[in-house]
Amino acid sequence: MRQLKVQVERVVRPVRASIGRKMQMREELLGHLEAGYQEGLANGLKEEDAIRRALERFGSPGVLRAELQASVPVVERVPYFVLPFHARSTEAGQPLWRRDDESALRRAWRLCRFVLPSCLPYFAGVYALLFGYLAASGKGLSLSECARFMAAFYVVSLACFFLYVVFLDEVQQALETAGSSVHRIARIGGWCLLAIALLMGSGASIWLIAGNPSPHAHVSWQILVAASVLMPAMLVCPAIALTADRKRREEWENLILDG
Amino acid sequence: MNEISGDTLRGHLEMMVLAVLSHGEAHGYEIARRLEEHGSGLLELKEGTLYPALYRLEEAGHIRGRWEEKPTGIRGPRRRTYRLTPKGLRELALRQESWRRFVNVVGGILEAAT
Repeated sequence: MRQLKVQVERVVRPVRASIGRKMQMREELLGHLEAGYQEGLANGLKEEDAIRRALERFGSPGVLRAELQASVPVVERVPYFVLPFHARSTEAGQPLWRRDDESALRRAWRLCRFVLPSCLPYFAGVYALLFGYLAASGKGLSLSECARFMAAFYVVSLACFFLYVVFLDEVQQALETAGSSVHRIARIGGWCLLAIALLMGSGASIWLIAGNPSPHAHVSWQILVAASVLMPAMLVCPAIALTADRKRREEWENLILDG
Repeated sequence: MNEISGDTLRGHLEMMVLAVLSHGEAHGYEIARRLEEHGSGLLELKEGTLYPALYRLEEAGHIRGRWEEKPTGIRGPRRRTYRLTPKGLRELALRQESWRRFVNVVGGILEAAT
């Protein structure tokens, strides 16, 4: 039976698609192979022969993989392009997985401490470009204003990421067991929560700016909007990378074959 | 008689799946069996290739799939059952018509050549 599971994994693992879609592929292809295997046994074949026959009739993994990939909509393929690269660094990412008996809050805090310092160079780069551009166009901000903006967005990012990890880890996982429709709602809820957190974050930054009125208020707004647009990408990419591999592994392992 | 396989089969697989599902809902394995049965043993279908066709049809809204719930206590992969949608039924009628025209035209040409 393990041979059947391995064959399915050979076909599905390299496909660039959402985790939900890949799980559907896995379950369905495995169910098909299992049915073929059972039919072989019922026809009096030995176990090994029944497996060989089921695999033969199933077709080449390479051809099937290409056809499955082609059946995935392009809009879905693009965001998951990053996953194969992430999978290769699974071992390096092990410290980020959830530890036994670790609470969601503790894990979220641990991930925040890991992810946000690693985003700092990106933050600094983006802001250097923004402030540089504004300075070049004669709308430069003072150093204290620059520092305030950066600090505000850094704190906001930390809060957003924290909330997001807690949500992904606990609430979504708990709701998954309640059925696929609830799972879908939870997934959408995750994105909504992130959006709300970002809006609240932007609000917090506006409050910081409003509390210290600047002679360059119009410039402040430009920076705020630019950073608000960039922040979702910064938060979503690590969140997908961190959760996808764990979920993929867990979901596949949870597919128990023997009754 | 030679078996029908590869590209010849792939080009018409979606139409054949729609035709099979017009007889009633079925899961992937059952569709493969029905195709085998209706093909009088001449279809050499690699069964795995059926699934990309099913996913394409589902994406296009021609068929709809649902997971069969397993009875409590029984573990293992669930089966996904597919059924034709009204849109799929219309698509099947169109493809059948197009196929008949194709057979008539090509058949006529081949008849004339013999």
